[in-house]
Amino acid sequence: MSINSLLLNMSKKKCFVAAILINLFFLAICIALGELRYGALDDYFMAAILTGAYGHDYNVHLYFVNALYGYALLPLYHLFPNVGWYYIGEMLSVFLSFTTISYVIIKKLDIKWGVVLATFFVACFAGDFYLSVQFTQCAAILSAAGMLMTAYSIGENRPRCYRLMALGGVLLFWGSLMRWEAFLMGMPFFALGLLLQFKNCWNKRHSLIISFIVTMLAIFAVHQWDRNLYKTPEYKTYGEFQGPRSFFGDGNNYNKNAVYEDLEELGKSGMDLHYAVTWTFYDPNVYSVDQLKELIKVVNRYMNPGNLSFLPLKLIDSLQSLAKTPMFWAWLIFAIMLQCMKGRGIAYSWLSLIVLMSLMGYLLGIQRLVYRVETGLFMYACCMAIPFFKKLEISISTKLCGSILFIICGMNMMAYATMGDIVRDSQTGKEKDLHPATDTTDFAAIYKYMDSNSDKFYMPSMYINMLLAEHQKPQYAPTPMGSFRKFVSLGYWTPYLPEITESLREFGIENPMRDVVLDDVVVIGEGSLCGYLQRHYYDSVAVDTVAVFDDIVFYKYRLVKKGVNND
Amino acid sequence: MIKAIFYPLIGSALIAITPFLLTFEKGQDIIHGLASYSAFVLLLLFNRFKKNKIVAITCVVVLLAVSFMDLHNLLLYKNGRPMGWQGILPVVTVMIAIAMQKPVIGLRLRAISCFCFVFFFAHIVGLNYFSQPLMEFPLLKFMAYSGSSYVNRTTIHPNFTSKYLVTDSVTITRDYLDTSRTNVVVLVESWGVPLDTGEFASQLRIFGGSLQTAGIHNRMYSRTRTAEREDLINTVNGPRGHRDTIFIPKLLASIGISTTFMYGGDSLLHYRNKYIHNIGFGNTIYGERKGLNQASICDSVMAVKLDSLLNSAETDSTQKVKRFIAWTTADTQFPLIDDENETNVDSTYDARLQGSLRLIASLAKKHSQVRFIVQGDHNPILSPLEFQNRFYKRWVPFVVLN
Repeated sequence: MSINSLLLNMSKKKCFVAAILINLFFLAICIALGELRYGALDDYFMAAILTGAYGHDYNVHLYFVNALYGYALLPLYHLFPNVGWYYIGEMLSVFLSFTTISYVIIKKLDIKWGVVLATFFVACFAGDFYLSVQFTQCAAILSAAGMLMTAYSIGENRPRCYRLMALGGVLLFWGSLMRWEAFLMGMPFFALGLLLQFKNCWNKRHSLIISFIVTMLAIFAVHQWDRNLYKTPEYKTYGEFQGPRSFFGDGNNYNKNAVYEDLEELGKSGMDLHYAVTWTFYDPNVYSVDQLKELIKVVNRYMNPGNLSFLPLKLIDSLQSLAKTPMFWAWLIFAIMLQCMKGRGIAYSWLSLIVLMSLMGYLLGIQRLVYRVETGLFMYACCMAIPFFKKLEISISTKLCGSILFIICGMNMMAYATMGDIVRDSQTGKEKDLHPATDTTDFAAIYKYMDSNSDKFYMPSMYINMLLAEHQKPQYAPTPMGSFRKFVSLGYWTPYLPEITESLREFGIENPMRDVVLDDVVVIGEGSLCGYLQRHYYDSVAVDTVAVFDDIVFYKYRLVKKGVNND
Repeated sequence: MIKAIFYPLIGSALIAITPFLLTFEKGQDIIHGLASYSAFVLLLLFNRFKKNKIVAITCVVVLLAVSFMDLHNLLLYKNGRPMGWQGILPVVTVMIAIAMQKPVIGLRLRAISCFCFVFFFAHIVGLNYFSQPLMEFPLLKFMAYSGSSYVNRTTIHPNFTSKYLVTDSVTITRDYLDTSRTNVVVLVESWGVPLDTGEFASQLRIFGGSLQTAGIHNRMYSRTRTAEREDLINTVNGPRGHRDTIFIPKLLASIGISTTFMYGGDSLLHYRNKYIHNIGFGNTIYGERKGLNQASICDSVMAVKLDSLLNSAETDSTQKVKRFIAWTTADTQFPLIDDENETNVDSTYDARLQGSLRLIASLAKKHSQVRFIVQGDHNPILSPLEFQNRFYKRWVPFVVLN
């Protein structure tokens, strides 16, 4: 081996080691100083489904995340059942993606500038991705890293290019598992990144096309396989319910008052819409898929018209509020760097702005623009900017490089140490305290109360369901098997999960909302169902308060006069 | 280099601020950027392409257009005041701005792109720190306000107010009730007040000479159930929480007038079986449910039934039996039967409504001794939105015949 190639090998390793070190540092301060939580509780409940909290066995039907992820984790769960592998897998995906991205940044620039910029990049995103890890964000960062790898690989020499391309394919594949929509969301950026370096693509056309076809085939096949899991007779109701459920639970771009009025005039109840919108819909009669579709028909008439003319001004507003977040600055600095560099970067920085605005505009139009999606969009926009980096003409001294790194790392450590329990809300992007002073509810007492009354069946409202989950064990511990068998929410996205249906049946409950009047059923946090029950099922229903813990109230519904109202 | 940025910047500031200051009025709260972004970009391009006449002239023309848009936006904020002497401002400012660029040597396109990018984001970031925005986007604002399609469905047009009675009151029945004769109160399903005054006039022409008074009145809710009850309220007594409502039918029944409620649909719909009795009606005529919530007996058949009731009242002239009859029509109920896909809502609704009104008109002509009080129950809800947008919201017509 010649000295030259040895040196080359060394510098290659150096980049890799630097990338790992940067990311280990951020992972370490996040773990040591930050408060580790899921960004949204969907992950918590998916992990719970995976560890069989609702049934007797592990269940890979995660719905939002591909079942393959569940299958991949099963051996680990069997080997070490006391570890929350779902969480660890997500953290690992973030770590790997960050490391990949940092590595490419360092390779594209020289080591000094590269380390500075990679550290800056990771510092901008680390808080959002590690402290409130979330499957949509995992999907975005994995796919972004995969796309970056692919876009970077085509500029490299031959044998190395294949390896990088394969790595990119694997990351993309993993990203598509975590959330399909978040993976698709990155495609415009991917296309933009490849098209702008068309010459490189053309040079590597054979390997690019083959790797593209192989990756996409695998991705689409696995996605199709996963979707088909919810078409089996057992999971059919569960799968079909999700569409209408999210329509009412998440969508609010329609005139609710007008729909209410129409329903009343149709001889139905406007309050039934209210319950559907507030995620209280575990009633196979009133809120069956067909009934929900009927409701949707009424709602569709009053959908807010997409007003395109106001969109540009609204987008400027949302850019303004994003300008407070570090991820915006990461993209802005990358884009300004590209503006000053030679090559196609200048086109990318404008076009990526246009793609960003169009996607944000689309999401704004359907009123689904949430922070965790925005972080994904900015992640894509940032990552696809990296292949356009050129070596900087101004060199930086080792001393300056060291002091910049010291400042960035020091500031981050300070920030995490003093504000480790402040994260950005994955919905709004506003900073929120994980331990607000106003939260005085004694959750330990609630769990104790529920344990001491373990003969009861608990039906929390969707809000309470999430609140209680949020205060339960740390995320890296799994939810024990069967622990939720007597704890089923009236809403949320879990209704009709076969194992929940089964545990309800074992308890003699066929229709959760109707059967809240059964002797051993206790409802938490929803005391206003009397009207609903009288409208649909019974002559007269009363509600008693069983226990009160600050804002969390346990209710017991009972019939005043026995007998089902048959008319 | 510095000149090449600052001269266009000052030019665009001139274009943005001059009309703002010269149209300034005490107490106005218009937020306006310091410099026009479009003008800035156009001036940079103008400097770059000074030698290329076609591009340069295009730049100037677009610059003029954008400056006029800015002025238009400003005036629009002042309740759409027409452009007067201010119309000269964009021309003057653009000419000065262009003249200012004379000593400037244009930047390269790359530099233009870079500065445009940086200034755009300087504006965005600045918004978070200063209440005064840096840039103004006349084109975007112009697009936003010219593209909005808002229909005013709540304020009654002066044309209407000058011709017809317009009242907030819901006591129409009580006000026009004539206890010395037989009264018929008709609630016409989904009869709204069309935004088009002419259409309303043509509906009123159906009643011909029987028409005594016509107007419109406001309703708090768009619900048949509520309309049926609130129209028949006589008095409400007692303090809040212990209200005691006295309904007209109960009152009339107590002085020996025979009361009848008629509806061609199912009595279970909207719990009519319960509340109609409570309101005090002695007799009821119902049909059955058909389809989703339509009535099985159409209006023409109900009109025959009503006719025979009125005939019996008149033939009994020896005893002078007076009657009070309330009828809720059903033909215009949405969703309209036979029009599942809602393709011909306009024509079907018009035909049905005119049919129902004609039935009422002919009854009124035949029984000229009987007072008819006809009202709408609510504007046509449950129909496609474009159709609903042709009617005032929460306003219904009322007509007094004979």
